[in-house]
Amino acid sequence: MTGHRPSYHRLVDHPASSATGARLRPGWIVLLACLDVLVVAAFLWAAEHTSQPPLPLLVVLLATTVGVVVGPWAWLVARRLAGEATAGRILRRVLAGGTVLAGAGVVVAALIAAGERNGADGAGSVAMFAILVAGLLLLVGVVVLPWLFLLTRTLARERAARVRAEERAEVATHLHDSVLQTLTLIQKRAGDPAAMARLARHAERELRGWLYGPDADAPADLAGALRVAAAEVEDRFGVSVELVTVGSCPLDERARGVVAAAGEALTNAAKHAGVAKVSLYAEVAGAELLVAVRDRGRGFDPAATGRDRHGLAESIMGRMQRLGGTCTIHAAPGSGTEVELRLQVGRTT
Amino acid sequence: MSRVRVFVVDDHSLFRSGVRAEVEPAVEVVGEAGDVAAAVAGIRALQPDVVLLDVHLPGGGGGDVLNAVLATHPGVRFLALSVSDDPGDVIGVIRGGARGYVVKAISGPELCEAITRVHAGDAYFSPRLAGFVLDTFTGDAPVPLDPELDALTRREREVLRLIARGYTYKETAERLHISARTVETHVSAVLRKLQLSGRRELSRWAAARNLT
Repeated sequence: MTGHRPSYHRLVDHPASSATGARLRPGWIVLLACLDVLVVAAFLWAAEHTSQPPLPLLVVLLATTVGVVVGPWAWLVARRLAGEATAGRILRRVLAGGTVLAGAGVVVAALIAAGERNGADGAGSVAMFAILVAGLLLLVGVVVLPWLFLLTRTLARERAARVRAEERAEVATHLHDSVLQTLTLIQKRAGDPAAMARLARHAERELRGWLYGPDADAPADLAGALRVAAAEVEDRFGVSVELVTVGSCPLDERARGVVAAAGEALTNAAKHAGVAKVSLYAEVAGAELLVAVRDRGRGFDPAATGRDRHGLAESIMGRMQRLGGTCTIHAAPGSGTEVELRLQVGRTT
Repeated sequence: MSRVRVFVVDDHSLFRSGVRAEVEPAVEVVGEAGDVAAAVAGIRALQPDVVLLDVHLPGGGGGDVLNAVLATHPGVRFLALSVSDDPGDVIGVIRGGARGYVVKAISGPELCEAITRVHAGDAYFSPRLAGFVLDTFTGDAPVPLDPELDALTRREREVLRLIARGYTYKETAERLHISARTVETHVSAVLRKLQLSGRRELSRWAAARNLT
């Protein structure tokens, strides 16, 4: 064993513990918010109580204010979203858009200021307006949208974790009901090899049906019905049936009849052939359904057989004739038996 | 004649020791591994004749071992075995270069025969593999083939059908009134078709199943 032991704890992903870069620590956020409030307040106070500074200074002041409010937040959010390609792209676009808008406002203001000598007032308002709009855009794009995004992501992760936990519980229940119970029974009946083999086969079949197959209790097609028939024979006679199916067809009345005939052929093989393994093959090719039951057991002479054996073959043959199909038996003493059932069926699936 | 040197790749140590116990007198088990990396390293170092390869392995799958080993040591022959009922998995390793497939419930003597056959360069089709292959070429399987290029001949289909019914190669030959060697030729031809079309479509198939 190479230490490969899948643990359920590993199967369940813990979103909280998975490193996603920087965490937004509450202390920093409060500090940041206080700083922002202070700066904005100072700025408002200055706008009210001091004379208007020259345009370049005003622009620098406004840009700094917006930068101080949005910048650190944007940096933290960007690190937090480092792994999210789509969110990162949107964030970069918003940042670029805001910067371009603010820059354009400043340029327009500068042009206006250069155009008219006394237009400093008009230029000032244009610049201020542009920077404020850019700030608003950044606020929505960098603060509100990422917050919404992170919130939905957390919710989705919680839901996924819950679904995984439920799946895990279902797997655990199933393993308990089937495999663990069987293992317990096998321990108790270790002295009885036939019973052990039967239990193991039963558990294997059940697990296989659960892992790979559709609902095995109510087979909807020929292949499923044959699997059930093979299982019954395995359980009753302690032989193993090697089932191979190629194609399948819906389980109508006639297909049911073929399954019943195949079940009888399997029973015969299990009872009389004296071997541990029987092959069961079914193929639906075009319009023909073929089922073959074969063993390598003691076989018999079909021409000179006892009343008992003859009757059994007759019951399979009679059934196939009533269905409108055929039954061929290849057998010889010492070289096993093969029963071939053929039936013309309608359409195939 | 020296015994066939076999390497066993399976992630269950219990199964590996079971295989060793069943085949050991007839063939020589030179090494074993439980995951993809150890298998590739071990096979390259020991250069066995035949590798018994589990389809499902931790750290990848049987296909990864096939790709890595056959790229550097094309002479190593692979016999796949698994408990899987998924035709896609099984056909996948066959197309990846394995020369046969058996179920894990196989008896010791049958496994030895399969190893010998694969070592001789032939294909070994268990009934289940024959069924999967017929399904694949019929078009019901999850691994569609190009029907123009990869169609089976009628004879190949007949041979596969009998193998799926539980006939040995020898019994198949008797039933079809051909020689056992001809049966082997047909089976090898089927294997070649699978592997040729496998190389062509492996990438497409892997992409569809999110294996890339």
